[in-house]
Amino acid sequence: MNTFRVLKTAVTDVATGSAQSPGARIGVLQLSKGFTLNTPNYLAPTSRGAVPHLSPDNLEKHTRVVGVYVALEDFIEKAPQRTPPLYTYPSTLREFISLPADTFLLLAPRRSPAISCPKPNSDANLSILTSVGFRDLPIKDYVSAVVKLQPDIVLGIADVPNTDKPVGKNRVRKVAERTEKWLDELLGRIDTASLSFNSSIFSSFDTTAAEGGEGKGGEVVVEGGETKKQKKEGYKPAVFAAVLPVDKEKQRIYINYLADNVEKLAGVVFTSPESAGEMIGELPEELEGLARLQADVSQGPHEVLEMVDLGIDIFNLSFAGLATDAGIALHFTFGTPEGEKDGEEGGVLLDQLDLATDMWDEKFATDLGPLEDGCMCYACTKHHKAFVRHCLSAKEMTAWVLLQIHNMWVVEKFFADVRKSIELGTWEAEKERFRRRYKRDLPDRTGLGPRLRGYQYKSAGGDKKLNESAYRSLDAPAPEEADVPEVDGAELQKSGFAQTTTEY
Amino acid sequence: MILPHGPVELPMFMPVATQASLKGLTPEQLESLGCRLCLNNTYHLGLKPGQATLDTIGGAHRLQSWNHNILTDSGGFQMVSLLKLAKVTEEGVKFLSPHDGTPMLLTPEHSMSLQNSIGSDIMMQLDDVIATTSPDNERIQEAMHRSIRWLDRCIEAHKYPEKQNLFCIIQGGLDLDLRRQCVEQMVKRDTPGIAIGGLSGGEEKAKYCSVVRTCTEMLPDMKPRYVMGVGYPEDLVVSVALGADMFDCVWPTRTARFGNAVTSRGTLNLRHASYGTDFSPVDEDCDCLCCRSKEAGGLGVTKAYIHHLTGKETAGAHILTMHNVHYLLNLMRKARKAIIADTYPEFVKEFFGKIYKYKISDYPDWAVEALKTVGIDLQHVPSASECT
Repeated sequence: MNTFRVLKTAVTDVATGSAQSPGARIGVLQLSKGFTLNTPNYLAPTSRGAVPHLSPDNLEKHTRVVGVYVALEDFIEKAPQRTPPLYTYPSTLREFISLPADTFLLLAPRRSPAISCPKPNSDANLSILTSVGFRDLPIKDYVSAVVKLQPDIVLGIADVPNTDKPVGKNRVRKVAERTEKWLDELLGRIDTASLSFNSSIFSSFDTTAAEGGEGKGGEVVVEGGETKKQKKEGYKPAVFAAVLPVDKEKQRIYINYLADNVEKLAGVVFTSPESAGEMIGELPEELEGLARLQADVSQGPHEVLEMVDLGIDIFNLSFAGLATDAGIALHFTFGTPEGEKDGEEGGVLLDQLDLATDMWDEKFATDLGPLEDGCMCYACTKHHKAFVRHCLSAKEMTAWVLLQIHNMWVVEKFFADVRKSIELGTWEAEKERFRRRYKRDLPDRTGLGPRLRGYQYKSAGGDKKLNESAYRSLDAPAPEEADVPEVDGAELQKSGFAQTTTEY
Repeated sequence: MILPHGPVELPMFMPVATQASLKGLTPEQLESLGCRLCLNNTYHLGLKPGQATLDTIGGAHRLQSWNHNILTDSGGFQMVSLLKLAKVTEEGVKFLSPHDGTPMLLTPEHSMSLQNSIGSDIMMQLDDVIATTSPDNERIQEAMHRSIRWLDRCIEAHKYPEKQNLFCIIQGGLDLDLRRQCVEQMVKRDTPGIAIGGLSGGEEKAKYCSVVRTCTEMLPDMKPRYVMGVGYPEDLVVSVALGADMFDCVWPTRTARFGNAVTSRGTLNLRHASYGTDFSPVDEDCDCLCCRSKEAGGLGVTKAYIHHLTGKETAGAHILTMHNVHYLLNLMRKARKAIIADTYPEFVKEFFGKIYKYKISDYPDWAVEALKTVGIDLQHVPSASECT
């Protein structure tokens, strides 16, 4: 069974029986394969099944990512002309992408944020972008993919117009109708498929929910030979239904549908940050016990805290990865560090702290300190700023590996501290302190990121090339980043690389 | 071979971490593959992060948090291959600074000083590198003699002979007489190790083998022999038979980034559409982290997943880089075991048999001939028990 329980809200304790209301809350999401997610918490976005820069061994060993957000559009390039390899794979999606055993998988039709498509959705198709171009994803294909791929959580498809145009008056009604129809299709199929789920390989997993402690929540116990006894409590994906980014009146019928089918749902997903603010307080009482997922969080920790305050439980967090690509190391801590009182020292307000530091800065060239003082991640305990800065400037991929490991670690600790403060009843004070103590924005990007790929960006007419060309004619002027000295002769002599000479 | 950062077992392959990192792997991952000696390139580290930074940090081991051994080249090869209009004179390598056109000079003394700052466990002399395929015999001869003179200057300029090992580099093109002269002269200098240079530049394989054989025959038994720039599995296996101990090449790591897997059945281009639905491990015979099944504690990566990632997500390149490096390190570990067990000929036969499916007519002639010179007959049909 997939269950979500609210353990405590920041304003009222659930145990006392008083009414729940929107507001920060801690909870626990238990998934049928035995994964446990303590909330508030985050999911790591993936690209083609990989958390960017992290091979599965690094993901398992050096991060505490509990769940990943995987998009079906990353796997179905040539469909429907050619059957995607994934559909002929004899096992599940998590096996295909070599996901660590204690990390769960959320399947969504599209990446989040998704790149808008030129063609609107139709009654039976969702417009998607694959690495070979824009395509249609038939809703029925998504529904059967869910049965085949066996994700731990699956998102319902929202008919959010993913073109850039605003939703027209007549279109709004259709949005809610289609989303309801598509969800109904998904729920129906999962119901009829639940028998076949449990005759499959996953019946060999012990489905007793593991008690989750702090830190890495997921835990799977594999037990061979016990398949029969577990059938009645077998695997079923947890369904999160979309709450639409349209006026509440326009989706009233759809929301009522959700309330009627609440026992088939584990959560709701907000597709835009604005819709969470508008809709969360408007959801009927029946839906309050569902987990709430925010599908795209790109701004930073302040945005996360504001949404925790609204009552969001799970965040698909893109800002950590964006920082990594920009060569930026995060370093923010939720909760008052020892010896500091409320950002003041002797009554004087301290300067606001930066949330992160741009590691491209030349001043780190010889800095042997960790990316963040006191951080216990692999990058900080085994390496130093000088190495990260060197790898960035030499465009060595290891730079982004180390930054990603560090940034994931910072985010993980941030959420653990948020949960703790709600538990201890210090949420309001700590939230306020964080708001005052840290600058609002992450530093601007200065250095070059890793090579960009076509499916990551939507081109518009007149764009410059995404990446510098790697090769050039020998006679062309040297670009700045080639394998040749970037400084003049005097500098080369000073640095001891070579000496200037008169004749040549 | 005992080195300042711990012992290493020969024969061995050394992966190339050009700019102090092995193409997306962490030093920890490299270590877990069993690598205890990797390469850094002096030319690249001299430009980035530069000598001053290296001095402040305290060398390349500290820079990359690598507690095992490092070997550095002299920087001369990249100088000649990457810089336009580099000229070699008796003083050193002359080039125009690409930045402002100032004429510059890199001498053996500069190279030693840089390698001293890097702190590599094995340093290479600056040599006069000429393509072996060059038709200019006189120039090849000049380069050989110059390399000997530069070796003397390197020995003179080397600041820490007690903690860094300087290897000489034998030159002389494909001319066996020149090679012999060079060996004779250089062995006299009694460096702790000896490299055979200037090969792997597109020369015929048969000529490559005769140069290696000519040199190894004359070299003292108790010194390591390093053939520079060699990395194809077949070249390694044959060169070990010819008496070489150490190899380096960027090919296994570079080719991984292009989606090519080095396996016991040859090199597979996993970008090919046919691998899109191939759900077997990258190499069935491999016990690296990537190829081992999840049940065996590995990642259980399939060819199809690498196909899915190649060229699109760097994590795919990281996984395949790990596999390829593991394959070559392990090939040399197996060669060592076979030599100790006195079964190297059988090892060589099985190795070629697997790649060419025991179709002897497909075996490359150069390998068959070269192995004959050391008494290994690939064409001798092995009995059934030897095929397993």
